[in-house]
Amino acid sequence: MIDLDPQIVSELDRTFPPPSGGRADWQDIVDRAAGRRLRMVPSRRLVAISTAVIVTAALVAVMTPVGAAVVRGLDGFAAWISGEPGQPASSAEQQAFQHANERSWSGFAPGTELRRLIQTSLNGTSYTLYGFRSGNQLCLRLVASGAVSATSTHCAPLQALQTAKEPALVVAADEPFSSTNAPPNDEGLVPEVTSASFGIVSDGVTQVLLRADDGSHDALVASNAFLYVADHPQPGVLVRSVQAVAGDGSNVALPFQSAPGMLDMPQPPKGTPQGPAQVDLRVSGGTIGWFDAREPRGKPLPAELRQYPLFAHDRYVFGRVIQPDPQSADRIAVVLIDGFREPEKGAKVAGLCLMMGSGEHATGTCNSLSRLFKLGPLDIELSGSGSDQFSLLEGLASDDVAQIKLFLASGDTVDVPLTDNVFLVRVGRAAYPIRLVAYDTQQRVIDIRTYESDGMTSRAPRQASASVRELFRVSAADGTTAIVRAGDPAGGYRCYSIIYGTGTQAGGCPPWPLTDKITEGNPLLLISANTAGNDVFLGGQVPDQVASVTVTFTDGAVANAKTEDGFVVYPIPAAELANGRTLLALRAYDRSGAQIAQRGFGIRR
Amino acid sequence: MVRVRLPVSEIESLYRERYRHFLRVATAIVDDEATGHDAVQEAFSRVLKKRASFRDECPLEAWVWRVVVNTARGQRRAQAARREWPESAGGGASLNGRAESDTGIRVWIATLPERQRLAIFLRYFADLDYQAIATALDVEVGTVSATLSSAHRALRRSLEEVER
Repeated sequence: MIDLDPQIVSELDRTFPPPSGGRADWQDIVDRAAGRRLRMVPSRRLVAISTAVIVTAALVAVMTPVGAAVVRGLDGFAAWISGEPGQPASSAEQQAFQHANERSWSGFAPGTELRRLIQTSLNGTSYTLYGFRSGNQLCLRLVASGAVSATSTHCAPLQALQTAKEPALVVAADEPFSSTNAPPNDEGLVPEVTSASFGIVSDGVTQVLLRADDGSHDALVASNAFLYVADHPQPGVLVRSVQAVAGDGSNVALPFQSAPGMLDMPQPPKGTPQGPAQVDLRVSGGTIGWFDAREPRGKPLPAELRQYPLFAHDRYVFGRVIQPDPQSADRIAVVLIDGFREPEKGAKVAGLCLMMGSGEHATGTCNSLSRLFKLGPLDIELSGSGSDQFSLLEGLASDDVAQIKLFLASGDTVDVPLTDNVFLVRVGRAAYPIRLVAYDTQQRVIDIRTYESDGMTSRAPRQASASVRELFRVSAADGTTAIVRAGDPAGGYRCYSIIYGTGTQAGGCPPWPLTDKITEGNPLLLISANTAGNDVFLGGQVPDQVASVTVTFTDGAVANAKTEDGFVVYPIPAAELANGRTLLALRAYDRSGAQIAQRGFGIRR
Repeated sequence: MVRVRLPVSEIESLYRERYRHFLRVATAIVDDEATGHDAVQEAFSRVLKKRASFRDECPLEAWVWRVVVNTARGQRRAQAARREWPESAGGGASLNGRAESDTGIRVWIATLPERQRLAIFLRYFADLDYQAIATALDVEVGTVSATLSSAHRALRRSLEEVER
């Protein structure tokens, strides 16, 4: 290739000097594309400006079916794009944020500036909504201080703002705030003191209206953000839709999925999966060369992760922290361990763990290494919190994968950041159904994964949850109570919940009846160990043919587990957990008394 | 071949990042900055409208450059009756009212065949590689190489002549 000759460059610069004026004007392009603006040649500039009002009116009619005047352009989000919505946080607030940030192995970019957006008070608690931009993430951080003390941070990808057709973005809905000292109510739940919904708005939005089960609520709107704090929300009351309203009263519904209640999950978003539906080339047996060769890609595992029990002592083999997108704070630790116990067979094998960190949060999963890339060259985890409007798709891609694209139901396509075989992308919960498509170096499709929803949805009809009632309670030695509730099967689903004291909860509205496909042929597969205070319960769903379940300990003692209407709950006696661990066997019997299943458990408190 | 629906955000991002380069090349083609801006705006509006026809067999940027170059060429043709920049290669180059001291390389640029002229603009003003230039001009990479070599030699000669 011919190098740029400096002398020619100099002469060209002198003869054709770089433009002295000209200003990028994206909105003008959008208007032209829609045929709504006169061509803005210089002699017509005044004409164009004078027609701006007409142009806006034309835009309005096209963009919203009701002719509402709520329109958006990136310019309306300029404060967020520049990372400067609202006012600067005080130096004390900034320092507190920075300090928390620095302590995390996946903190936001150094120097991230915290901006103060909205503040309100409720029943002795002050709620302050902050905002900041960290790379290509736009984040909102709600800090509660006073009677309730908690912090909640949620982020939206910048791309969501760039592709959104609406003038506002819901970032979190029904985020619960509870007092840690409050006792559980009669249903075993600690009632929420407040719940908060918040998001980002463009300049023209003057009102944000939230429609919840208990009526409509006006959010506070300021500093290009909105905040609604519900006071002592009743259990089951959730925000169902959100509208942005312009100054002239016109409005537009925002993309939104309700926070999932255990027995009240929203229906999957309507839409058709986009993108390729056929694999061009099937590949199997994928590997990650650098990981197999123990190459020091990315960064070493930070000390705080090495302290995880799972990675401690001689179990840790190799691990690196990869940042899939240099523009994002998200990091994923890929860790190889020894002695991982397979959930199904209980055998100890080599395990591969993915720890995802974003800001101050970190979550992770481990699996048997031998299962990696079993289903194809993509190994995917789908996660998200209930109140977050964005789910996370993260995982590993084998060396066969050169590129990953995400196809949203809207038809928009997102290039998924992929570095050192690690990928991560945030997806709006309302943007489903989606397809994640992997391509090889020759642009052939080598893997397609289609997701109807983020997993926090259900097709169960309303009556399946409406009929839920208490079935039975079981108390443990230390006083904790497990409460089992279930409804009538409806439409192929049955809703249930098991609340173990103030500890874990299990339940939902899964398909019913439980088939061999669901239980993988083992009627005891869905039983799990659940810790509540000092007590440990075994509990879960069993298929209809299970009439009774026994628990056998190593000393030969046998106990009957409470088995009723498709559910089993058994509190492990404190004496059996005196050393903090115990081994036991569960056996299931049918109505004739014949044993139909057995499953071993190693329990550690 | 993979066909994708191009996200508007990618186009917008490209526009915001490379606007000055697009403006400079378009201005060089139409010889007027305001018209150059108009050409860029018009080209991107066409890209938005035609993005469904985009195939990712070529990079987005190269495809957009093709639209920008063609739009600017179209605007120049529309102004041909009033403007004096030659439509085809050969003599008759105009100075477009520029000062006499600017004329050396400008005249040479003006006398280059159009393809060479555009290749020069894209290489020097937009810093595109040969593949991208080939896509933008809808020619083979080898043609770009030959075109730029030829243009480069011509420019070197012109500079030497001016310096003498």
